[in-house]
Amino acid sequence: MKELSGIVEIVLRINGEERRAAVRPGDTLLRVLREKLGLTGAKCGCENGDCGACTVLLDGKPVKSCMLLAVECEDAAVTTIEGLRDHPVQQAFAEENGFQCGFCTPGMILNAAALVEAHPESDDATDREWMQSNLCRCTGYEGIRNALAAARRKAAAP
Amino acid sequence: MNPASHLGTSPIRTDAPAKVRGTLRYTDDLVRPGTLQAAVLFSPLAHAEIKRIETAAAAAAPGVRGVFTGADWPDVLIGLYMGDKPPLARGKVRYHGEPVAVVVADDEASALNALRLVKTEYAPLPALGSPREALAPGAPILHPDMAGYARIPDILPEPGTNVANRTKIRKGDPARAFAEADVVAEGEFSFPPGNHVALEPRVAIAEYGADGRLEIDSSTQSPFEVRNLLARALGLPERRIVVRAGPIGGGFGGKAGIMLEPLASLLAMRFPGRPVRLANTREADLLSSPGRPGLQARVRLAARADGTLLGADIEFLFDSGGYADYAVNVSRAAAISCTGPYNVPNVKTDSLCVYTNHPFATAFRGFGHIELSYATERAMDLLAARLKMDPADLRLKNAIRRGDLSPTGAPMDENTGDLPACLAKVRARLAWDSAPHRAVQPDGKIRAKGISCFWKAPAIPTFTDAGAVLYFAEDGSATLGTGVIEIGQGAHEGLRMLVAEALKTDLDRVHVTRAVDTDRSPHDWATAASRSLFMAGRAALEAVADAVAQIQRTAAAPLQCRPEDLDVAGGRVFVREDPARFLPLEKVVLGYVYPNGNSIGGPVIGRGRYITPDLTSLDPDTGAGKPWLEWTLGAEGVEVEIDPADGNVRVLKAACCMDVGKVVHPALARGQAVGAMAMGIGYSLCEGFVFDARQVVQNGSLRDYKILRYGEDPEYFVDFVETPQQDGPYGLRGLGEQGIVGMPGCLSQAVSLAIGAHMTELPMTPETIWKKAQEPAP
Amino acid sequence: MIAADVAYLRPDTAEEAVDAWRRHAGARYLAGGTEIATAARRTAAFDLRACIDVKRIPEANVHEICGGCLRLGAALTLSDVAEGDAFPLLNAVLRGIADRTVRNRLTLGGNLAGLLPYREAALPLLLADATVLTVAPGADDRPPVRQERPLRAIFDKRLVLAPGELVLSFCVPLEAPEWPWSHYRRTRTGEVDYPLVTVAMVHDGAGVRFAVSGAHPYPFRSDAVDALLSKDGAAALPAVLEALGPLRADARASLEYRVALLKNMIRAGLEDLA
Repeated sequence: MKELSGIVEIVLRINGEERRAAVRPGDTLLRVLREKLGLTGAKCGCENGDCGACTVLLDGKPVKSCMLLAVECEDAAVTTIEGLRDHPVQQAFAEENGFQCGFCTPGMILNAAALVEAHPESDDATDREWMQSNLCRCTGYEGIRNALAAARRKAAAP
Repeated sequence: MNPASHLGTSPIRTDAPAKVRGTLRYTDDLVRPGTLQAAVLFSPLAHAEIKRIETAAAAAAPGVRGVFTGADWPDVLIGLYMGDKPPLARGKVRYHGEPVAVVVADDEASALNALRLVKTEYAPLPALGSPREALAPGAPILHPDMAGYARIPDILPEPGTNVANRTKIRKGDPARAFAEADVVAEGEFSFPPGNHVALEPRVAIAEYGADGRLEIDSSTQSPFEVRNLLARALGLPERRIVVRAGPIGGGFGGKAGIMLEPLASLLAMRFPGRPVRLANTREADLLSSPGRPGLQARVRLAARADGTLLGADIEFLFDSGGYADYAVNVSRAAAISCTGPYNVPNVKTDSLCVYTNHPFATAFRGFGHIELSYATERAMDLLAARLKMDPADLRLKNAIRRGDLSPTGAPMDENTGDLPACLAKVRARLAWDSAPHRAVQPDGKIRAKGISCFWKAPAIPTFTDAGAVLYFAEDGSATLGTGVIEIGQGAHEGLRMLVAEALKTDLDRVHVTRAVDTDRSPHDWATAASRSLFMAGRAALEAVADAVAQIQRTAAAPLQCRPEDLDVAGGRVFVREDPARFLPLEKVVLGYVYPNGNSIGGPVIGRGRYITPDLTSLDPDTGAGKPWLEWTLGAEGVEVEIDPADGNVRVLKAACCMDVGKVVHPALARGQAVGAMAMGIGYSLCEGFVFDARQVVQNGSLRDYKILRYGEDPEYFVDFVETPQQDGPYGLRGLGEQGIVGMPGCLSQAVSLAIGAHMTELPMTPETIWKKAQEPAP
Repeated sequence: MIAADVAYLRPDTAEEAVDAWRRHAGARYLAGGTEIATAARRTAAFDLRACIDVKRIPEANVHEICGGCLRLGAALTLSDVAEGDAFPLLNAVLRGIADRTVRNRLTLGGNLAGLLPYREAALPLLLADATVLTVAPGADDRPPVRQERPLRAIFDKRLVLAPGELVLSFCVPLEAPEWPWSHYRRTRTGEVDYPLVTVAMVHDGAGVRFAVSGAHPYPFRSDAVDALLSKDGAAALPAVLEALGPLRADARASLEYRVALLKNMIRAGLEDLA
């Protein structure tokens, strides 16, 4: 049985790199990413699991990093927005104006990237089920919907 | 040689790469090591006397550097237009969420842990739950010291009452208009206060330096305004304050005033040399920092039998909450535009900003216009029903036009937008004239349409300004510096296009400085009121002209011509009549160097300035004056589907057409309209605070305060009309807020039509729709 | 942020988990953590000293059909469960809870054993007469006690567990997922919200079974209501409402509205099952 208390050093696999951090067991992954590892792409929008601005991928699945402890993520692969490079979803968000202020964008893109990978074919009900996890206050979601469609087209193109 | 015009094209935003890769640094992404962390204790009650605050245990907790209460700053009062708010509550609390005590510690966990050791004791007082309650005889007076508050002259408080501002409009002879009217329609309409819910919670990081200068990084829309207000509140001259603001994560007016900066600054002054971070949790952002006002309105309209409006008698009671902040000017703005975009010759309006025990209110997208528009559009619907007239036809008949007088008596000028054209476009989008407005579906659900008109003018100081500076680099490219904040609206993209257009150069040769710093950036009133592209745009164009003149002067000698013979385009300065005689800009913009080494010119620095011309204050008795710069007019419409069994409502279509003078970047313009419409749908259908009987907020987290989510948005239709604004850059006028303004009106009309009863309150949740549908028909 | 100093324990077996609970006063079992992370931050009264992460206990991760039943580990996430095709009603109910990325963490056991009152995942399990396997610390120094009991026997508004007792898995009789089913859920406004009323119904061949949450501040199933609906269908609505006892009224919805929703859902559900 693993037992951690006080300040502990953990090793996280983030964006394909091993990252060490001294954390308190109660630290959420979000705070460790932002405050210990300089990965500020994940945002503190509510720290209550409601807005999705802190979304990261944990073993490929989108999760809210404000709702899990960093110590829970040892042995898992964490992908943050900084780990996505020229992903079709990123290009699509840029081209289709899937953002305005950009604060929800990292979480939105990671969720969308996982969605497009899991469901290469568009399906309104599935898109809605997934994308309802992230709030955007600027776009009215039109640009985000268009970006999803464009990303799927890009992914399907040879 | 001249590149094609940029205006009307939709280049990818320059902030796109950083935003989609998550590398854009917002204010809270900049925290330096060693920063002290502040944690705030909030009032759990809406109105109470503070009997006792016990801080000794917290002060002794590990890592704690200080614990502060209102008593620590007994004389400081903060305000925008009226200084009525202590940085921490003193003596009593006036709303649920008011800051009561603050712990400063080495780290956030220590601050939060110590905060739990602060003990408070309150004696509850009767809490005012609406403006009407606050105006009733015998209501507790929330600000008995109002007479002594510092304020600007345009705000007219009534000491001894809860009225923080009253703006009166007296135009024509309304009594006679009502006496002579064939039809009078009257209604009362209301909605509770709510919140902007910008995704980025507000944050301020302050440091008081050894040189006696206060430096603040803040998620603000108004760094210069913050500097100025801080100077007044803290008694520091402006020269000892610098406010820095980078891109911010949404504002919608909620970051336009002064927020966390005063408390962060006061704390920083207690710990010279150490930055202090004061960051809102989402709950604090919802409750403690200012939100948007609520409204209770009564509107009476007088009309002839043919629908011609004769008069309006209007009372707006804005729910300002515990403090006045921007809400006093919101109520003033609503008075200025009180009739909506209709020609009403006789008007009597009293627009009041009233203190209550709700979370206090500041600027919000639409600034008084979404509020007034909801009330007047509802009244127009009642009138249309009385007249048995198509509600769109009634609006068309009364649409304000050039030459008509606005409610403040100033004539609508040649820039007046083409409202009939906007209305026609929205009618077409909704098949208004070719398909029924209400249709029962096979499954029993009801589809219904609604249409509304709106207008908006910025309610700004008469001396609203914008500065611009244009610098050049060795490669000949230009960098524009302004005081405009990038909130997400894309103003920097628009400014870049205006500058490139005026310099007749490629877009990638123009750069706009993102960060604003009150030490380095030219003065700019605030990034608010949808005025940035207009005013900073005017300043930027003047800066370009100034720079071009300097380029011409420098280049004239080596090109052996007069400066006025030269033109600048395509990255060159050339002789207009003989373009083969040219110099590339890079050889001129930092000075021209002759082959022998002699140099002339020096760096080109374009300077541009703008200040609103010809604006006046309002006459305090009649409201007469010319307070507005430009009006954006438009029409909106929706189609909704309602399940009468449970009131569930879905917005199927939303259409907006507005006259914006000139569309600079169509994709971003559409994005502003669509985003505003979505916010208006949320405003109308699900948003707003829910209070208990003691005025404690029941939905003070994003778990419970609902905004639209993906899939709840409709199909959007956006169209623009371009009647040029003569004094706007390339004819443009503001468009950022406007799309929200008409949404409550057209949604209320559609829902009312669907269920056969007039909705009079927002938000129209399924339950309220269901309840209204149960009421027996009048 | 979670400000409290918390110990983190990660047992590999059920026995280690209850042992850890005994050794750490005030410890809480941590599964998906979605509730703990928010309560520890927001609720002053929520005392969090130690978390026992039960997600790696093999028995809490089973997802299999064996011995005539579908066994679902308590540490399975709602998304994992809902992606299976074994129990469509359960999938439908789980898809209503929270939002997708929360469901990627939130577990079946956590939804039933947590503090939030709705516990919607209980509805299909109550209807299916599922059983629940738990492990509890033994008295004094005796070894931990495992028990498999009918869910309904230990469910009274919430799971009634002994101190330190940990839910390991649920077992659904295989005939239950085959029954015709119906599910309706309504919120105050948008879908991602707590339910005002959420109703699940099945027809087991002999009669109607009915479970509801939201109408009360807890999940509810009773034989009396099942009997009324089975016998008289929609005509039993007044009697059903009486049998349900006092319903909830709060800032989300009035009593009358909840009653209206409930009636609509029962009528629609009976039609679905017919």
